[in-house]
Amino acid sequence: MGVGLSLAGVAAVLFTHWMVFFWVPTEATQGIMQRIYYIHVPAAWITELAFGFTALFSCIYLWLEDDRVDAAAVAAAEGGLYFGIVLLIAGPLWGRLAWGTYWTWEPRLTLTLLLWFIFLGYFLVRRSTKNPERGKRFAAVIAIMGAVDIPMIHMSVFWFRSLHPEPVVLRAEGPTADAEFVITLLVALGAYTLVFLGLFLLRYAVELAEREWLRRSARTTEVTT
Amino acid sequence: MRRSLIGLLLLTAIALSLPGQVTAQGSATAGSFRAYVHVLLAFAAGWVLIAAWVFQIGRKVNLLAKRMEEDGASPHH
Repeated sequence: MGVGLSLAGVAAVLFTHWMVFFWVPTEATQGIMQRIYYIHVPAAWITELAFGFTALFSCIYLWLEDDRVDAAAVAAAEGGLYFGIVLLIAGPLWGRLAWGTYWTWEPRLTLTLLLWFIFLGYFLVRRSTKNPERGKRFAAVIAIMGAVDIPMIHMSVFWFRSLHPEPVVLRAEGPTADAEFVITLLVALGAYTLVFLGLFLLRYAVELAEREWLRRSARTTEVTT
Repeated sequence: MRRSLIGLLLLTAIALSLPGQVTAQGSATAGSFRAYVHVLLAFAAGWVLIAAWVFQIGRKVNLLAKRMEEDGASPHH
């Protein structure tokens, strides 16, 4: 299923590229650079979705102590890190053109970078303890605490004086962008989500297989010693 | 792999520095070229990172298969 979803996602991403470069009109104010939006926003969405999944699976892991749920958390966090890098590359590329600088320590950018480092820490903490079970629990707590950053990233453009543009689609009064922009964005979001879900399922299956092999190896070692 | 990465970084640096010279001429086309380069780099980053994740998953699968093969060949079994 993971392979099927991933391939469907790749096909959808290729279709999105056609929409971005040949169908959607050039935005009047920002011009050509506005097209970065169609990779930057999906990357942000996937990063937050992935880290949200990690936090959710971590809560369930702490509650049920089921190793399969921890495996799902690891798979989701890994995807979040990769898509987070895409977000942190696409954003500055846009910023260089829009603001004249690749980076500025304004609230949304800073909180997003913090989120990425928190989930990098998730992996470092897992490996930092002698007892693997303890490492998993520590990492789960970090994931849950890190997820608090996600709504703060969204609200930062409203709470603080931010350079980053406010949402144009997810607004109480409805989208302010034209239909073609909204449709292209929604297709891009769907396409990259399919890619993430497909690869997440594959990574989850590999993680489960690895843990099963480790368990069997440990049992075999016990029997022979 | 390292050479490809260095090559990619060099290309990126050249692509980002070139428009700085071109825009000095004050041409509207130069601004569009630079914007397109940034857009293409952003989408390329998406592909590179997705490929990197696929590569990492593939590496884990190969490693697991190798370990299982070694276990199968082990005299303990």
